[in-house]
Amino acid sequence: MRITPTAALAGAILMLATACGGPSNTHGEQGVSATEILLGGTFPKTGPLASYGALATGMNAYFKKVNADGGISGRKIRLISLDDAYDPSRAAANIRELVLQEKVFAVIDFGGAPVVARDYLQQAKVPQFGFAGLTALSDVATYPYTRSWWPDIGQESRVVARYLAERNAGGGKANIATITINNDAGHDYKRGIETYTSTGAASLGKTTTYEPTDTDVSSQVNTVRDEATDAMATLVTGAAEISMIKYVAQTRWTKPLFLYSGASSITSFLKPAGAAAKGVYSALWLKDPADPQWANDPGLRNYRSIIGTHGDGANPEDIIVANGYGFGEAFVAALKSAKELTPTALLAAWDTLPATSLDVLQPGITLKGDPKTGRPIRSFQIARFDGTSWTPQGKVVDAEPGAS
Amino acid sequence: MRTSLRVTGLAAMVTLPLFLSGFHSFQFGRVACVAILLVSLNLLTGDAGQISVGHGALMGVGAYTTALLVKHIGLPYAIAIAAAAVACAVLGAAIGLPALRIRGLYLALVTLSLAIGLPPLLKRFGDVTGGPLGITPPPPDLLMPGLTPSQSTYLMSALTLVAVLLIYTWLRRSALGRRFAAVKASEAMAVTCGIRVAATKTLAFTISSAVAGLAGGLYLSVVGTITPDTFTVMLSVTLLVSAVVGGLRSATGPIVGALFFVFVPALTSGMGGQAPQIVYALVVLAAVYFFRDGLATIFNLARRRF
Repeated sequence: MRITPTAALAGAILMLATACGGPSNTHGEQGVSATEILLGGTFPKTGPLASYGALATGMNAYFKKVNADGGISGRKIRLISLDDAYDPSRAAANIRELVLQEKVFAVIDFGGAPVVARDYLQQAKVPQFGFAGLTALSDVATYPYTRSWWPDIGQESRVVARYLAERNAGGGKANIATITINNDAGHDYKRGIETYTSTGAASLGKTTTYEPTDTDVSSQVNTVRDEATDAMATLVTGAAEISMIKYVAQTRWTKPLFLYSGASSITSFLKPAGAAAKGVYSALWLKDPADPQWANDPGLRNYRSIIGTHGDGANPEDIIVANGYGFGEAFVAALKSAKELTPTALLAAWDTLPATSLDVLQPGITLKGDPKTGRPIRSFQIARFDGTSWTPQGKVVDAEPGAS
Repeated sequence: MRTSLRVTGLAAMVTLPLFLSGFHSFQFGRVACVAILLVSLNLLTGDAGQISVGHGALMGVGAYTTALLVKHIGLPYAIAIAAAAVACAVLGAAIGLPALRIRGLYLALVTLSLAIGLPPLLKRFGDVTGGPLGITPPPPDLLMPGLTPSQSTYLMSALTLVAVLLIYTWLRRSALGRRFAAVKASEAMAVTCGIRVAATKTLAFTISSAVAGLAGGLYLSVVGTITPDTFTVMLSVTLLVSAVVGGLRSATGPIVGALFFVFVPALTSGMGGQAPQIVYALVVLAAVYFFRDGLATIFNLARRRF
């Protein structure tokens, strides 16, 4: 049979006409059936941030435990988790696949890459829960379907500045220097310190940044370390962090060096830095399973047994697994307290979570919903590393309520 | 007969994804945009013999220009995308003029620095670009009533791809295309034939940049939001790899390359562990060893056999 160009075009137009009126957007109870609650995740399972893929494993272990105990009023939680390699285009595609194809009830993602789908999820009216501390993600008024699990980075650094100001109270205003990674997270951290020092309770010392590709920040340490500096507050991570801890110790610095809570892992950063790590500070909210003080902690014992049974071989000593597990606990708490299984009811439940302790949170730190920032964790335990374990410094401190 | 076969193929290519789900029309929208970008690489590398490691950044400039024009000036997408292509052409000419006067790898290095420099630059001027969290302009109007938004942006990208492919095929056979080929074959020979080598290379890079900007603007319309980290140096490298894997010297190459770009990572991501990277590397190696002119040559082999 001979197909002429005209016939082919006519066929194409005909096909086009019949393709019109595609499926309409369904929302409401998408992802919830009589027996199942379907969740979708997109995480970096390959690429440079692949270690954060363990967040999904930790969370799913807790979901499986809840399922084994009968689920959420008879419904089992099922998590489909995809790999985005921390590439925004792949995150965008994954989230559309989860919403349009798999028809999930809510999307859970990691970091800044999935921000590309934030507006899309508002239109689709599908809740988005992120493992992210960026201050820009603490904006429920503008993005009513987006919530975050980690504390706001700016809130953490303000708590650090306040601690340093109070610690120095007898000796004049604390002069706080900063070294921060030159990206949005680093800027948020520095801005938190600036916000606090601008009140006049402490003074902002020298500030410097390093590039995400740098593995050595000794010149930055030299820049900010001088007689006037009372403390260094840092958001430095990866290989650069280990070298920073070592170098600061070499320069015989005896005043506080603060590490970002998200980069306070004993296994990943403090052990590799060796003896130099003794004396560093951080504002913690999560228990590090590698910290020997939790060896017999009932919460972590429960966590370890659940990871052992449902963790698909994940390493329970990995703080990232514990972090994901903590989200699982918080999310299930929200699901259980939701009046009905609809997106708005789930979000409302998350925003009004009552004070709840979790297996993996520091003693004295509880979930507490906040409808303004959408972040349930806003308190920290300042701690000093004694060489093997984190020693609490004073009581748990709360960030200013509602502030972001 | 061959023409009608091609027309049928193109018509089927444009319309078939409309019958798939919303997610698939979104994915094929990405394929169409990447394919347009790969055409620009084909023209530059396959025809004129120059290498760019910064086409992802040019795509980013196109996407951001479109987003800013739509969001702040309220231009319709079609005009904003055309303006983005012009802006990228100007940028391409500005980069190409000095770099291409010198022989060798200078263009590759200059474009590499563009790719490295763009994301931090976009984050630095957050007041204009929206910073690390990017920009979301209002979505484009539907191309025709009854389509869903992702079908509509897919159709717009696919029709543009068809137009770009037609122009590309025509251009390769034109006098200009032969000039590109001459420069690629031997610059000394090209000079003796009276071809102004530097001007020809700059022109190739300018046209290629314009097409990359076009791809960027369309990509924005498909994805809806763009962030600086969408256009990292890794994107530029992956695009170059996909261009080579698809095939640098044919009109089907960019389509095959774009399918590879979008679907290989998506299909292998379920394998777990290091498997996705290994599969990716194996496909690239297989393409380079067994299909020197790209995976698109499989079609030619098949045509000869059957």
